[in-house]
Amino acid sequence: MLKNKYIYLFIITVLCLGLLTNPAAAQDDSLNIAIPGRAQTLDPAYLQRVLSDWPVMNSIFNGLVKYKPGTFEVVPDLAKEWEISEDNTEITFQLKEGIEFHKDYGEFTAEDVKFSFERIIAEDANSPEAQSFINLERVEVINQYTVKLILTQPMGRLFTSTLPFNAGLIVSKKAVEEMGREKFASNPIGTGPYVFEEWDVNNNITLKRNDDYFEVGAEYGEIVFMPMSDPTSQELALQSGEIDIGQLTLDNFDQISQMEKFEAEIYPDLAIQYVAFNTSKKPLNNKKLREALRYIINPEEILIGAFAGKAERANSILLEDMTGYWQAPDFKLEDVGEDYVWNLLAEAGYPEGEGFELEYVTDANEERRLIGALIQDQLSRFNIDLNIEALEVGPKIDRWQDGSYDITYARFTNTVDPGYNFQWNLSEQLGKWNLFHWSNKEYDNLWQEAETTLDSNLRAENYKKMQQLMNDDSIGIWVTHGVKTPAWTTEITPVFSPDGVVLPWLITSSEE
Amino acid sequence: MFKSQKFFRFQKKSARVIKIMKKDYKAYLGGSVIMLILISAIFAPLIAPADPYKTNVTKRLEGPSLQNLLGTDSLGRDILSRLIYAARPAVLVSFGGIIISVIIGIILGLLAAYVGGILESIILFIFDVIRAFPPIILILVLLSIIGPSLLSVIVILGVTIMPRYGRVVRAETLSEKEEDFVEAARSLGADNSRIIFKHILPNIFASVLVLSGMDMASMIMWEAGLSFLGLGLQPPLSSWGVMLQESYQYIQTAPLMILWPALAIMLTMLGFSTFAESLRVALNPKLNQEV
Amino acid sequence: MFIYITKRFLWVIPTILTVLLLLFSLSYLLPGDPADIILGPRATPEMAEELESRLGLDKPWYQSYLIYLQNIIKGDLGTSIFRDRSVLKVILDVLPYTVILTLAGMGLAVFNGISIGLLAANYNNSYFEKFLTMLSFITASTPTYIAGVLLIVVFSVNFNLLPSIGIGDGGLLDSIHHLIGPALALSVGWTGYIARLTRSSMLETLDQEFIQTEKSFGIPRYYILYKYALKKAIKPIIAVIGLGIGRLLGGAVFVEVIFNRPGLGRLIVDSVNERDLPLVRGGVLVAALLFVIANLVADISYAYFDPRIKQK
Repeated sequence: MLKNKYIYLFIITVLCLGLLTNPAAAQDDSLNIAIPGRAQTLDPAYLQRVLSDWPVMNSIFNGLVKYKPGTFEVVPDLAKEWEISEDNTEITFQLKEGIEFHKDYGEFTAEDVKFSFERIIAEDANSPEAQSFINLERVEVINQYTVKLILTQPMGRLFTSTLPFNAGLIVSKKAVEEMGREKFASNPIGTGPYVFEEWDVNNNITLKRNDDYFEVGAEYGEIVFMPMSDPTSQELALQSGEIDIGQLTLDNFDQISQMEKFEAEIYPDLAIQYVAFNTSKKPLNNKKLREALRYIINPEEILIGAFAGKAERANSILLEDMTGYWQAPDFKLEDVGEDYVWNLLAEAGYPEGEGFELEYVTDANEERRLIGALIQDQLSRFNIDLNIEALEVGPKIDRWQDGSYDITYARFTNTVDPGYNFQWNLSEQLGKWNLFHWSNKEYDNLWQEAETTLDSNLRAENYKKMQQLMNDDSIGIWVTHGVKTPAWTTEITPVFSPDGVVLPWLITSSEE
Repeated sequence: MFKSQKFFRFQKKSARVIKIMKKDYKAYLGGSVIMLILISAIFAPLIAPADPYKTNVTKRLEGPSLQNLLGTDSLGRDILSRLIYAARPAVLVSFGGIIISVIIGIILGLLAAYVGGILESIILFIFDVIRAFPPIILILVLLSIIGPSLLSVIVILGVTIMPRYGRVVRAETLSEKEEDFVEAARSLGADNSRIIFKHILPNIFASVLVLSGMDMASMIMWEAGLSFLGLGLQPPLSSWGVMLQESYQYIQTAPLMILWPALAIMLTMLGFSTFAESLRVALNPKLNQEV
Repeated sequence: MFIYITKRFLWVIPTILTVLLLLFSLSYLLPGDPADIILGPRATPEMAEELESRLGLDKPWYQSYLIYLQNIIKGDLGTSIFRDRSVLKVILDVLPYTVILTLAGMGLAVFNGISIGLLAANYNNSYFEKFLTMLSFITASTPTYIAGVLLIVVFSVNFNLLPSIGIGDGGLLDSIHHLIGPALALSVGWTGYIARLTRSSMLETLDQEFIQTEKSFGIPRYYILYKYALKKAIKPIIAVIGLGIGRLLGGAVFVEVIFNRPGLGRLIVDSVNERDLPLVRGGVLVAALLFVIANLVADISYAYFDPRIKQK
């Protein structure tokens, strides 16, 4: 009886000791990368969430061209070289030879290019990428290694954002035809540096190194993408060694990036975050009032309060180095003084700021609540009541589309091509994603013209004019492009795109 | 004659209850916590040292100081003041929720017990359907249908808990109906409403009081939990749950920040449940085990 | 007894049918056009149409409901919108994690609760007993999410003893290691409840005559306590476990979210946020079924263990 007791005690002690020593030492040949949410699909033609789907796809597939690592410069990938006809509507690609698809799905040929692009523009495809190929008429196979894209009109964004991004990734024709679209979405077959292995219960995605890769192969034998939507979880997991690469929250950035075991960097994001005024509804259909609001709402405070002062102010819908960048004038309260704004309010018909209440619709997440509370406090200094509704995505989009709000805060993802960013404010987007509920014929025409030309001077000219139109009407306030804050253990040396997305196959070990 | 006797009974009983509770340290603890919460909620503007909505981004995330006793949050707002103001939604949610569920529960329970027949089956069936869902999941789904706001949180919490009261009221009413004095009252020509108010309600009062003490603790817990999942109240209204969620990302850099709302939630729950326990011991109602 | 159980089982059927109807009506009740939420700005009208037909929004509601019922009888809960997998498969994949978590949490709660309760009964009316009673009130007043956060702050951030996220690499030891924190967080609330129950039940038993008799025979105190009293006093605790499992199922929602574990609770939260309707329906249905069964078992065990109900 007594003896038994001691044996139990012994076993329990050993178990406890065994459990408390952290066995979570990372395997040497395996990399764990956190993604901010569950990947939705691995079929490049149906990409839904850029932040979680794209890094995975990018490791499995290649395009005809790609961005040179670390830049947005376009260089050959599966294509050896290409020729563009004089009227800019026919592009002929010479393909590299002898490249094999994963898992014995055969050699990559011109047929796969034709299939990959035409499945996107096919009528029954329902691909969200159809607009990326908006002017593509058809793809012609010249021979096994030569393929020609035939356009109805020149396409400004073809080389800047369509081909090097997900729409341009080449899938195995044989694999898609054999499996069908649905199955392919979770069993992707490409030519890339990593081969898809498993998508498990916890929504982790495991990739294995492609040992027959046509370029220099990756160093690490295995990558696991782990979804972690909560940034705090990512920070904790990074410190406990469960992941090798993750994102830091801005407030903790300084402290954690100073720890010896980690390195971290801040990258500008490609998105645009802005305060939008509903210009079609009383009281903000009043331009004077919108101007007053531009003085009252202070984006600098938002940057400090919600972005820990780590994000840069955006003065344009575009990033500074993009074609057509135009800096909108900053409406600063301290430049004009409070009296000027009181006068503006009086001119708008609201002396003393009183007599109206504004509806503010925003997301329910913490960062957006903070921004709402801040704007509310700023407006209250001018006696304006702001009624905040922090909604879930569904109801929020409902409100956006039926226009039952006065002010809202939004983040729209962009691509490298400027035209993409402008399209949401077109008249045809009223009731959809035009959050200003603003319609301007001149804006629409300028956009259309820029879309169908390869003349970058003309495009730049038009984009500038469009930004001036938006500025003249004071339809909103650009706040920031946001930042990405990847952090990684010092055991590895990762490579990132200019907007801070990791390129997994280029990660090397830091040890000599 | 009947009335005075009844009144005498009630008076005697409450005197006994107070006597027992006076000797119970749990009653003092619970009572003072509840008082503290109520005072904070009612007199928040007088007690709070600063405006809880006033932002000041130049002094964000500061530690405790003389000016801000518990420090400031990420917008530079005074944490102590926000904590005090957040007693308001806590009180509204717990008292509001319980009032809704007790009222609906009593009405449905009495209806079921008195009318009987098909109506009773329907009411019991409604109770069973509500009870078929784990409460937090039912609340979660309902909230995402209606949309989060103070009112919807109160109503949903109330409706989710309501069947418990309905069942208790029905069971007690059924057994009270058999009691002699009700029969006697009926035979003297008292109408139903009179019987309900004079005889049945006072008798189920004890059970309902104890149950609601426990449930108010759960409501505080659920409200904070919902806010923690991002389904809470609308800003600038801040509840302890919202503050908990806001501080979560600072658990490494400013771990003290999350402690305050956590303590507030736990203390409130502790207050309600110890008071309810002390009441239970003193009243000793015939609660069946199924709570 | 048998009639009682059969009656209870039969009563569950209409309840579940109504639950199904409510779940079905979700597609009409949830705000927001599913196509817009699910597909975002990148959606084309064709995609939206396809999605609506998949969600059955293009038919009259009674037709869709019948189809929905038919499919459920066949064991087909539909296909998840995002995962291109059957809802049943997705749920069955994560369910074991929730079940293990819940059982582990209950196990810890029972073990710790009985220990605290026994100590309190043993030292009744001392200051130590008051301390233990307060402790059980405090644990009962600690919501799972607060317990989880505090455990992470103390054991993961400050001492780096326990992992804060995930389920480990699949090895047994690693899985247990990852389970400690979440199970503890989940158990905290019920530990206090069981401790109080144990104490009062023990005191009641110790008051009874035969124990008094044993005492007078000079049988050692701990022998009385463990051999006789506990055996009798444990019955109401067993009776309450079924109820507790149902409750912990709800608490698992928070634990799974905080510790980033797969499980039914997190699946429901995620799918509600993503408006993955088939998955919301399936997940809530399975949760409700488990909950109903747990409550049923609790009721029956009550009837079995609690003599008062048995007599009825």
